[in-house]
Amino acid sequence: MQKEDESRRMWIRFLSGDNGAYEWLYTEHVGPLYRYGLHFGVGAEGVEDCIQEVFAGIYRNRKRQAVPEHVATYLMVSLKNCLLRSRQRIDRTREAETDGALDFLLEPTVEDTFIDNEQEENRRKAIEQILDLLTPRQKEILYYRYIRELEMEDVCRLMELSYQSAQNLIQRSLKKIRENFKKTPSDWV
Amino acid sequence: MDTEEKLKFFDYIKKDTDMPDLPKEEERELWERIGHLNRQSDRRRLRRLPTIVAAAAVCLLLVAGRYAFYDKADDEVDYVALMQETEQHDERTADKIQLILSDNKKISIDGKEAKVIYGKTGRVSINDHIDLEELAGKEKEVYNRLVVPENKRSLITLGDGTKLWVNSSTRVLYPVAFRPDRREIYVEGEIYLEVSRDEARPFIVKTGQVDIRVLGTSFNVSAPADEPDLQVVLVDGRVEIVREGKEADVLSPNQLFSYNRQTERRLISSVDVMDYIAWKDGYYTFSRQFLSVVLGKLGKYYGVRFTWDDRIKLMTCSGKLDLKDDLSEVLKTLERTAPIIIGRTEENVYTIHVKP
Repeated sequence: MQKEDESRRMWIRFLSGDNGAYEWLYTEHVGPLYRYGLHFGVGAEGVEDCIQEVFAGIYRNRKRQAVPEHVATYLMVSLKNCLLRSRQRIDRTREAETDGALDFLLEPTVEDTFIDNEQEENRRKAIEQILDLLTPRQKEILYYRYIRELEMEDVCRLMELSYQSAQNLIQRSLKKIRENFKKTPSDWV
Repeated sequence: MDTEEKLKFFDYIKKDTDMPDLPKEEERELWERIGHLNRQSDRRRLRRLPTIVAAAAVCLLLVAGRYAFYDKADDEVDYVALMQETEQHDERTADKIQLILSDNKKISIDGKEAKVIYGKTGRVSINDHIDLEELAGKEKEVYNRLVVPENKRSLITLGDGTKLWVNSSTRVLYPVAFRPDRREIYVEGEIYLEVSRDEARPFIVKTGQVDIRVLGTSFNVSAPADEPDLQVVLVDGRVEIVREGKEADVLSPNQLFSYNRQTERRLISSVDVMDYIAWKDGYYTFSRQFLSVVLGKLGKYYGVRFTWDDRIKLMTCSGKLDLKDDLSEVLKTLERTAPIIIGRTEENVYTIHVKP
């Protein structure tokens, strides 16, 4: 949380016109934002374009901006919104019949040392199958809550859900995992 | 699914740390693209400026009849920009007191306190032994800057006799010689001033959003660069607190002006001034002060962080802490005066609990 405190301090300095603080915010957050953006399956270039848009956006609006409650989450929300907008633009030009929603990619880990190991391969397949059963939004919310381990408050902001709906979505997703987790061979866990 | 299982499942999913990194050169390239966009929006802003200035002029005309306005001189110095232009890369991280001269040469000063004295002709002495000449510019002001890190303090005597106590984590920017019509300095952090009286040249402390204007008096200004809170405490005389486009606030002795630079809320209250100025003599006094405020000040002074549970928030304490002591001594004194236990969780982080 120390990094978050530092980000808030820097954000205040940035709002009062300190360009050094602005660069600090970029350097500190660009890496995590990039890796987060890759989860939406729009490709590295799409993510970079949106990071550019997010940072140019906060600079353009710095005169009328407040300090976000949580800097990292604020940047994540902004990036996600940008990815969503560019997705909708692409869909329109292709006249595709999609709802403009974004996919959310989660993958099983692959340990290099076990790459030829049959047991490891079975484990990987089983995890993949469970993940396939989840909707993009289910994967997304589980990612925030259990992989990034964000506070519920931030999860709600990122998902644009009320606390109760977010809880429900998490419970439903966990239920789905639980049901299928049981069916899989236990030797890989 | 119990917690154990839940954790296991998520252990088998790729973490962000396993995802590909943005290559360093692309990170730089992206930063340059952002800079390019920003310069474009800066230019657009500049083109819009004439209408804003015109509108401002109209407003001024409308209100000028009602308030004695602090007229914004056209030779106003942009101190924030001046600070940025001349900032040295290690200025904020160095652990020694630094004096940065007009030619951007830096003098690092050993010890916990530095005494810097300016003569009328631009002669500078540091801790009574280093002597150098700073030539006061005829055409343009020549600026010096004193940077005081955590856990250090300094005293500056300016050419007009004004004394400036500079607290830890503070930067002050001031001209080597003042202009004939006014004396101006810029501060980020906390200073205590004894301004020598000069009716012809008001003394103005600039802090970015708020100016404090005086003729001759003693007062304390706390305006940290990284927090919205600004405080002015007046010991004697009279100060005017000027915010752009607002009617000035006038302080009487023993009054505290607190202002939030984000929400623009302000409050004037009566206080025991010693609580606010004793730091200049190397100690802090507190009378029925919130423990959280005390800890905040100590944290800033010693460069550490405190975390506490909510019950601590409303606890008050009175007493005197000697800042020349080591932090461990100071904390021991605190533990003796308040029903608290102080533990250290990591380097520079302390946790405060209420005694069971």
